Amino acid sequence: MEKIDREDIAITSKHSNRSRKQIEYLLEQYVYAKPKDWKKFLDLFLLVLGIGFVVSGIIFFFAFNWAELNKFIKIGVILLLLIICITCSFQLKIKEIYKKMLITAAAMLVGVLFAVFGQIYQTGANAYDFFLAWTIFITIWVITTHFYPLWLIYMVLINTTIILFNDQVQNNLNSIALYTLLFFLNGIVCTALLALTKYYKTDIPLWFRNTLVLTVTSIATVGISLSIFDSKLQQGLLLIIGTLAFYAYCMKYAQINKSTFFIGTIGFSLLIIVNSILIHIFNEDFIFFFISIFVIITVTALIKFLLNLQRKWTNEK
Amino acid sequence: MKNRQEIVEKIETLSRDSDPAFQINTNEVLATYQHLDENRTNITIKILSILGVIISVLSFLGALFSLNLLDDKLNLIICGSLFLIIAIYCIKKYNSIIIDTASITSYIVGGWMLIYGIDTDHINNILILCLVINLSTLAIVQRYLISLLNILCIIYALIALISYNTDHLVWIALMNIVLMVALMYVLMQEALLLSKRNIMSTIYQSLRIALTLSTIATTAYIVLSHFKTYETYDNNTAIALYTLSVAYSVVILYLVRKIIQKFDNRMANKSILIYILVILILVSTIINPGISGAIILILLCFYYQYKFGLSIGIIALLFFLWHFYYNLNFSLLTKSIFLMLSGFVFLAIYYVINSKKINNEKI
Repeated sequence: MEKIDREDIAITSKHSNRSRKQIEYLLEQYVYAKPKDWKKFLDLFLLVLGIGFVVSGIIFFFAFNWAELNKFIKIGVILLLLIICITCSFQLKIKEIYKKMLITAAAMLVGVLFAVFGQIYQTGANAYDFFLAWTIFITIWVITTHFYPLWLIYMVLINTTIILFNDQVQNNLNSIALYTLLFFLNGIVCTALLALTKYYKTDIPLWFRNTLVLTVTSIATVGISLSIFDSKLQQGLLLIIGTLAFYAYCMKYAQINKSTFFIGTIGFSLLIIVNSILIHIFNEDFIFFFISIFVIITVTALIKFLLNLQRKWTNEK
Repeated sequence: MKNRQEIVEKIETLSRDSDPAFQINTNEVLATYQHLDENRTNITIKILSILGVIISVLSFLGALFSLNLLDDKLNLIICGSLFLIIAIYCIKKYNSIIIDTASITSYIVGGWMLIYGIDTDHINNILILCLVINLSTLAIVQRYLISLLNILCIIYALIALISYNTDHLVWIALMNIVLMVALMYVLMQEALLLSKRNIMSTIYQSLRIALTLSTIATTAYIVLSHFKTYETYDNNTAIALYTLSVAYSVVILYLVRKIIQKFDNRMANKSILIYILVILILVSTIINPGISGAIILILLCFYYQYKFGLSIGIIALLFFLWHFYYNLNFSLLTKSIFLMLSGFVFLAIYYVINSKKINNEKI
């Protein structure tokens, strides 16, 4: 039997003549926090706030004195922190997750180090260099640590480097081509990840998978809408083909892995693309009426489809 | 899926130790579970539904604007009322999430058209009309999403009325205190409200969310407006701020007392020390009731295990802390010392609580 929760007590109370005292007793027993929960919660709450405040205080203290600090001390402090993080993660006998968090902190410190270096030696505001250096230097850590938050940071850095490269150094790619490049980069990573789960049975955390799919879908949607509004369909052809292939693969994956998130995201993306086409073809104002009704009908149909799927899947369990 | 066997087991577990006259309508319970299962929504469906409503409302109203259909006021009133009536009828007849998106869009568009069509310059009348529409809808139909919308609109219509008719921010602070007290009542008297089995029990969940969101939003509004007029040093806002702070401090002390009671005798001796440390923290946040408000939300929601409120409380605490330190007009050195001292007070409470445990275990 599943755990009894608030919903069960509410439903059974509604259709019975349970007294108020009895409801209160049941709530105290099954729902409300017990002293044991309170102890754990207060410990965590007070410890996090206490340590967080003290650490912030120390950081503010450094910030106050930053301008007066010698440049060797500035870089020295950060290098020291970096070395401490890495040493602790290798030497200390702590849980695996804490070691990985230490390496993630070290990866962030690498970025801080380069930023301080750039600030001291005034290397110019070319952010592209900074992000490229940061990305390259943490590559080995990211691959060996195999920690999903760190992978997420790494993906953000790679994307930022590409965007800034295009902005600041070589303006060869127009926006549609940029979106296509980003789409294929992130899309290939995503597809590889999804294929890995199927063939090697590795477990990816749900939040990471969903964030990646959401990002790829957003890039595809914005890119295709842009190519529709600018009437540059030929340039967007590669993107459209890639998107269709990716969506087809995701739908197949969603069916096997019983995920409503994929279907919902892809459905919504297609909705936005169709709306863009409609707005672009009929450049009149009355089209908004039609869009309004179209959105309602599509969303309703999508929700109905998802609910049916969900019911079918829970029945099969 | 909860099959019949599981549900019957749960009913039996819950019916143990009941009064002898306890009777339960098992068929109705099974029917409710069945209906819940059919409409079980996960976060994807909820977000999809909300996005759908927002996009279609915006595009419909956008079409009205650009086609200059807003000039014909009588037309607007008639169409608006039609949309409202259709929406309420559909929601009442079909108790299903699938119809919800369309119905809520129709309701919002209809309500907006009706209010815009009345075309009066008196904002008071517009707000009172809004209040009347929402109160009547609440009386007619009680479903999760539409009741949430109604309660939020009622609360904000009242706040807008107060804010429009008075110059002083302190009235909104008083309204905020009323909202906080209402939230505490709703959370603490859950058993009472459930046992009444009337309209209050049906809208209980919507009421809880609406009060949580509006309490913290109104507090944020007061804090932000105070700090916006900080340079001009408006006396108005300061009084409102301190009223709120004092009220929240009283509530926190009351909650701390309730929590200490839960730990029975173990904490009784050191409770005075804990009170002093808590008062120290409250004194340091007297100019930002947002922090004390967020802490109240966190403690309350954890006590009554209300997960959504707890997450809102934590996000609010982070926001208010950031805002507090960002706006403090002291030098970085003062801020850093302030932060470290506050940190040490928190750690002090942590050690006070844990030292008793160690003492007890030794004994």
